[in-house]
Amino acid sequence: MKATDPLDHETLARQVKLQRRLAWDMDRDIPWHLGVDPGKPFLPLDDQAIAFPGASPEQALALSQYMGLVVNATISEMEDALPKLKQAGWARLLDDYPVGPELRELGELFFDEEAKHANAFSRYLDQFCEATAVERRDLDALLPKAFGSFFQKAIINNAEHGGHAFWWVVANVEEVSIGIFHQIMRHRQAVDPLFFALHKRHLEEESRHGNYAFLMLNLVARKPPSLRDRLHRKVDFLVSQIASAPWVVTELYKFFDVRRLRGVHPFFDTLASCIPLYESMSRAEIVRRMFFAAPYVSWVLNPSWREQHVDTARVHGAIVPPLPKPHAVELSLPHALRTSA
Amino acid sequence: MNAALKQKSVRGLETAWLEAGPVDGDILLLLHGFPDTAASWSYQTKAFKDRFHVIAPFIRGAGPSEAARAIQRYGTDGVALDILAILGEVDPRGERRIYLVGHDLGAVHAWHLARLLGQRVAAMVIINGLSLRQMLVRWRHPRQLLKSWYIFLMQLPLVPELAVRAAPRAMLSLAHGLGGLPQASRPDAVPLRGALAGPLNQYRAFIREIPRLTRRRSPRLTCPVLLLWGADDAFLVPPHAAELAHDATDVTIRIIEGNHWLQREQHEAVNGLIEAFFSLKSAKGDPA
Repeated sequence: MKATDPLDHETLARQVKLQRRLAWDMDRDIPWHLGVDPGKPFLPLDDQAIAFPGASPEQALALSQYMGLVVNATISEMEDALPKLKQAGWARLLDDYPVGPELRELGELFFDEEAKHANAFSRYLDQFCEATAVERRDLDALLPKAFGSFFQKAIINNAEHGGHAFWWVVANVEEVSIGIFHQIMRHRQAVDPLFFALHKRHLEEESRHGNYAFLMLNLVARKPPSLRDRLHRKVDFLVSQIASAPWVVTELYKFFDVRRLRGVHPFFDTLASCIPLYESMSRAEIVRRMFFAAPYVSWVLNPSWREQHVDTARVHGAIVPPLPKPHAVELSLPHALRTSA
Repeated sequence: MNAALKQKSVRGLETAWLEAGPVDGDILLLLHGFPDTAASWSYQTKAFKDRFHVIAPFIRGAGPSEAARAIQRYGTDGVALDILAILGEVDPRGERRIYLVGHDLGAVHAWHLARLLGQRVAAMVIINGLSLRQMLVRWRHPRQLLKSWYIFLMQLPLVPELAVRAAPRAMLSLAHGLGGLPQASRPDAVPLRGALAGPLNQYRAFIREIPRLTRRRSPRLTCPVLLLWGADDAFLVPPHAAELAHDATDVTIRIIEGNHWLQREQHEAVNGLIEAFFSLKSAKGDPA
C-alpha cells in the first residue's frame, strides 16, 4: 500500500475520480439477503495462540465467530469515531497546510466511506443477532466500544492540541484490517459467505482510500514544522500506542463478562464454557500472548507487525517502542471446524 | 522569448514593459517581484503569447523603467498608476479582459490592481506572494518575522543602496542563493549598476502604507484567485486556508514542489496550472 505524495496533485485528482467511480453502495452491493450462516466460522484461528487447544468443535466455532464479531465491532467503532475527529484531526491540518483541493476532496470521500463501513459492519452484527436470536444488547456487552472511552478522549485531546495520533490510529486499523482480510481470503470457502463478502467490499475501498491515513501522515511530515509540530512528530506514534493498547486489552477482557450471560442464549453458554481454557494461564501469560502470539490482537497491539506503519514512523523520526515482532503463526480453521465446514 | 520592449513616459518618468502576442486578445499582465525584472517571466511569456496579449511591466526603477526619487512612486498606488498608464496604452478603450499574475512583491501590486480594475479582471494567479493586508497580519507571527529579516534591513537608509550599487551581481546571487533557486534557473542577464537600488524602495513604501492600510477597508475580490506556493519558500511561511478569506471570495490554494521562484524553477508545472485555471474559469464564464 504505497501512499501518494500529498503534493502530487495529478495523482490525487486521478484517485478522486477512481474513488467516485468505484464506490460501492451499502444496500445494493453487499448480499445482505444471504443472511448470516450461524453454522459457519468467521475468522481462521491459531490452534496454539491463546487457549484453543482442546476446544471442542462447538467451542472453536463460537470462538471463531466471537473473534469475527469483535473484529467487525472494532472496525465499526473505529470508523464510527472518525467523524468526531474530523474537525480537530483533519480539517485543522488541511487549513494549516492547504496543499490543494484534491486532498480535501479525498478526505471528504474517506470520511463518507468510513461512515458507510461503520454502518455496514454494524448491520452485520444485526444480521448475526437476527440469525441466532441473540439480543443485540447482550452481544454489545461483550464487544468493544470506543465512544466515551479514555482512548477516544486521549486521541481527541491530542488532535485538539495539534497532534496527529489520530492518523497513526487510523493507519493502524487500515493496515491490520487488510491483514485480516488476507486471512479470511485464504479460507473463503469455509467462512460465512456474508462475512466474506462484507470484508471483501471493505477491503476494496480500504485499498483504494486506505493510504489516506498515510497520505495525511506524509502531509504532516511535509509541513514546515513549528516547535510543537516537531514534538508531536516525535511522540504521537507512541501516544497512539499508549492510548490504544489499554483500550484493546480492556475491551477484550469484556469476554469474561460472558459469565453473566450464561443461560441467556446457547451462543453465550458455549463462549462461557471456553473460560476455563483461559483460566489455566496466568494473566501475565495472557498479556504476553496478546502482544506476541495472538493473531489479530497482537497485530494491533504490537507495532512491529505493521511494517508500513513503523516505516512511516521512522520517516517522522517518531519514537517506536522496541518490541520484538509477534511470532509468525500459520492461521487455519481449527481442525474440528475444517472437517465440519 | 520574442517579446518587444516598449517604453512610455508616465508622470514624467520613463516606464518600460515587454509585450508579446496578439494585440487584440485578452491581456495577460505579469507583475514581477524583487530583485527580478520583467524578464523573469520569460517562460510564461513564451508559453502564453499565442493565446494572450502578454504585458510584463518593469516595475518602477527595474531594468529600463526609470527610478524615482519619491518613495511614493514605489508604493501600491504609485505602481498601480504606472501600470494603468501602460494598460491605457495597449488597450485605450479599456474593454479587454485582463488575467493577472503576480509574484513576490508583484503579488502586492496585483492584489491592489485587481481591486482598481474591478470587473475587467477575469482571474488572478498569485505565486509565492502576499497582499499588503496579509503582510500586516503575518507580522504578528514570529516565524514569518524571522523569515522577513531582510525587509527590516531594507529600511536602513543608504546601506542597502550602497550594497546593491557596489556589487549588484553578488547581491542578486545572494538573494537567489538564500531563496534556493538552482543555478540553472537563474536569469542570464546581469543587473546594471544601480538597477536594484530603485525597486528596493518598494519595501520602504509598503511599510509606510501599513498605517493607512489599517484604516482602509478594501472590498473582497470576486474574481477567481489561484494561489500557487512553492513548498520550500525560504522567505514566506505557507498560507493558511482562511488567510485570504478577507481578500477574495473564490480562492484556490495549491502548494507544489519548489522554492520562492516557482515560475522559473517549476515553469512547466506552473504554466500547466495557470493554463488549467484560466481555462476552467473561462469555461465557467464567457469564452476567453
